[in-house]
Amino acid sequence: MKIEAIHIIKTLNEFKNKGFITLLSLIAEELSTMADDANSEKKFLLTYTLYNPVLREFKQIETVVNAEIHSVCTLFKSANYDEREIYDLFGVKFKNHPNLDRIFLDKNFSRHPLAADVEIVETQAGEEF
Amino acid sequence: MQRMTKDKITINIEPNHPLTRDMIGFSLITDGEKILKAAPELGYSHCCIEKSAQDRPICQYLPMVEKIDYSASFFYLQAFFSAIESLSGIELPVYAQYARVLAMELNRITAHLLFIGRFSGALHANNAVFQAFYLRDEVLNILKKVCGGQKPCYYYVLGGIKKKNSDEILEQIKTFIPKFTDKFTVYADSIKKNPVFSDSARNIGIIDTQNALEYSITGVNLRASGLNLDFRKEKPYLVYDKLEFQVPTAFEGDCYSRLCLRIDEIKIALNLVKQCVDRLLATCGGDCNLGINLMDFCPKNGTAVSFTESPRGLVMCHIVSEGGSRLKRVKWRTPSFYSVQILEKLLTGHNLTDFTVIFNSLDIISSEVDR
Repeated sequence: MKIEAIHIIKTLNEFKNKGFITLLSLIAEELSTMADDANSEKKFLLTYTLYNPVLREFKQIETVVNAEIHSVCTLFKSANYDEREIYDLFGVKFKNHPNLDRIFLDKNFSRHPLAADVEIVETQAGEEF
Repeated sequence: MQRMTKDKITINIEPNHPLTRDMIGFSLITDGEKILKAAPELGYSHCCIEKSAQDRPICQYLPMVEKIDYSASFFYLQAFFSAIESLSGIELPVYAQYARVLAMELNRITAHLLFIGRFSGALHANNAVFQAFYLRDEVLNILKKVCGGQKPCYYYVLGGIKKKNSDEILEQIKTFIPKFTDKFTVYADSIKKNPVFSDSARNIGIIDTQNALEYSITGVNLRASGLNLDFRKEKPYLVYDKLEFQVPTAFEGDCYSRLCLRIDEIKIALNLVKQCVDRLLATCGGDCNLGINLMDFCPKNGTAVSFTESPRGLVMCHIVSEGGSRLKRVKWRTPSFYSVQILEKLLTGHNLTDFTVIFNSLDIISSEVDR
């Protein structure tokens, strides 16, 4: 199911009221590629996988965002670390997140490694990435 | 250690601290011996497992998949291959399906025994630690006979398994299981009835069903809280729907019930191994793989998700392919990542001496958390 990014809280709240109380995973993927113009806006596809433990049903909700979206921490407690991970690795910002900070990488690191514009380069020991 | 006010103290438990036994740090704010706030610090063993998939062909990525969880590698390989196989429409031969389940269930026993060893260590029951590792060694030796090494060693290949097991090895496993079951039952009883375990692990670190579901806890940690959810039954993969097994559940949700459930799961896994050996001896005529060469294999264009029940909970592998030899995106949903999150809530209000017991009872592996 595909929805617009501005309706994310409303849609997930409706599903939560229907019994989909578990957010199994939150997956991000960058749609823009390295070949795209540097000035063009970045696009990310977020996939929310919900689970209903009573009916034993799964639901996948997809939305496309441009670097900022509302946080769903108030609805699903497990989204806290998921959103921090996506901010750390992709640079997508989540509005109203209680503690939007890097989760894996160093706080002084400037880039977001899973974004398409970051290339893996071989470095010598002691050389800065 | 930093004194904040007259009573409150911040204690930093760093990864090399003997209390954690893993690469996870904690920052605890305490009042006397009581924990007021706990904040896990992750990232000490982050090794870019997801980024690396974009940079290399699938065959070169496999060694990294094995190392996401060093004690349950077979489950991660199964999740990864299962996603690629469903994307490319590959169906496994029956022999290979039973052989994969056999290896995974043996691996499940070793992973749970590792847990019991670590948990006993946290309670300073040193004799139980050594016994657990002796028993684990015996199962690892059997695993070595099945797949050539204590680690997977490329036993799983795309479209099946590398090599058939000889009847001799299968017969050896068949005679090994009753002997091991007897030994393990004596050991399990000695743990369950031991006051060291029952007194210090009961009624602490209680997770109720509602909280477990909201924090996305899966696996044994969820089943100890009263919900009978096992993805081997929920979304059957391989031949789990043809095998007979019960899923044990407890309702207390405390550290002791999580220990007891893992002991019960070992007994069920032993039964599954026995069933698999019987079926393998009966269906020895079929092929064990489809002869696909992974070096020049390109998965089809598209997206696929696979569900696997590992000893620690649900493992999801989400892959996106553009038809080339490299995958565009691989995302791992690892169960320990969600178990760490609930620690913030779980440790609050407990005594500092309960920290090790609660932390170890959730069976968190740091390589799985950080990826």
